[in-house]
Amino acid sequence: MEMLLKFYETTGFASMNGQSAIMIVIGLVFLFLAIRLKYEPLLLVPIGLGMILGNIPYPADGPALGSDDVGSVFHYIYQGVKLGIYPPLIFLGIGAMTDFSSMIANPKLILLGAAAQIGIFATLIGSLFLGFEIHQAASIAIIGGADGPTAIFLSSMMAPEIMSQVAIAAYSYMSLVPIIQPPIMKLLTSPEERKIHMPPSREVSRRELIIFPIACVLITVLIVPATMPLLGMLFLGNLLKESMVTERLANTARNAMIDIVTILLGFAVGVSTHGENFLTPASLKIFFLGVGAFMLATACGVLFAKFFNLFLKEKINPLLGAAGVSAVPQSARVVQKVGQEADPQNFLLMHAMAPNVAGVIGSAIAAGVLLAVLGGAPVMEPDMDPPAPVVTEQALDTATEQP
Amino acid sequence: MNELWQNITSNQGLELAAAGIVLVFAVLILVSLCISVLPKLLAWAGPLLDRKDADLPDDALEAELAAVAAAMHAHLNRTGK
Repeated sequence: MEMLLKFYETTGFASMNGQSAIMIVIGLVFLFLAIRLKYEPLLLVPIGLGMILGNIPYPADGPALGSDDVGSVFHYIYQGVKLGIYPPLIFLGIGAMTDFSSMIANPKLILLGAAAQIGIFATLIGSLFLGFEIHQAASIAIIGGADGPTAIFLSSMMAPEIMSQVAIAAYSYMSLVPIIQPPIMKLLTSPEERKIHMPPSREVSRRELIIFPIACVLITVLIVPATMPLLGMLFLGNLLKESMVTERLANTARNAMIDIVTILLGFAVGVSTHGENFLTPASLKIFFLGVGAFMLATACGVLFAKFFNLFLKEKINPLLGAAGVSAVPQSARVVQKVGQEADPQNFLLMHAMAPNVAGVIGSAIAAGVLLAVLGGAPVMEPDMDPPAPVVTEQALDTATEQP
Repeated sequence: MNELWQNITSNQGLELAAAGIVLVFAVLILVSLCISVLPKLLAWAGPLLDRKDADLPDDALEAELAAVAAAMHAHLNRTGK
């Protein structure tokens, strides 16, 4: 009997608390959203199950099991997130599957990808106004880029203590693109504007497709070297694809490799979410600011497209501005859907891909600028890592007082 | 309210936001300009970039040569010559 009681004390039931139980329920909700409603299942399934496993209580004097316990397998999987390894690998895969031809064919649409990044910097001010420390504010603001890997990369470098909240917010809002964006797009455009047809794009030569990643990596990385891990890998992946001489490598990058890294990234983010630092008022603020960032980015893209039209002879459909957030290809699909609601003969998808992929580059540049100006958090050896600090209102208040 | 506004000013939030927006636009405008001139540049440099097929390594030909060499090697081994 004593043995049974001793065993019971080692089970998750014995040390289960309210916070762990709530986090497990949130993990189950994520699984429901992914499996039943098909919201970003490739990400939400690993994140959801990771969240459940990360919040199963276990005895502190037992074997190393959690992501904070040096020696546990979850700890080592989590290092890929913490050290910023997974996001550049995801970018390599994205590069190997992205067709930049729509952007090369219509370079003026790149500016819509820049305009959507205004949301990031507006949210930076909003986050500072709500009392966040500058590095945390930058990490929260990047949610407006609607780019999960970029958000994880920047927050792992600048504010690892809120990385899980930022990652969950970024991926949640990416999955909610079809719900968040259409009302803003309809609010800011007239039915006539939504009916504007775009002329077919010109054909892009193979040479242009090959030269583009080389020229683009030189321009972006020379101006903002801090973008090197993300954009360097993005354009490497794209060069593997477009050069036509490394088809095997491109195939691996866009299929097997990106799938493996997606599993590890999603799971690591999920397993690192702990009730004590996730269920705080600060997290609520982060989610509130995140959705604000996303809405602002969409609005800025649409409004800039309307402003841009004042100077153009051949008008662009202002809905394309909403695709400037870098949720590829969800926001381009939303543009197509909203455009077709106004006019069933309006096909905007391929045109929307231009600002959409420009948004990926733009959000990586924005992250690079923030990283270059503010600098990253001090780098520590993995084995010396202290447990993730608890983010409380008090901690945030004291953080703002630090130089 | 003043303290919150202080958090923005003491961290140079407005300056950082303005500089960030300008830099993102500057880099993407540069990329856009580069793409715009690319077709003209390629039209000008096209003849220089064109190479005759004979200059390029032919993977198929190399594979055929390797197969012939392997067959010859096997034949010579078998016949003992």
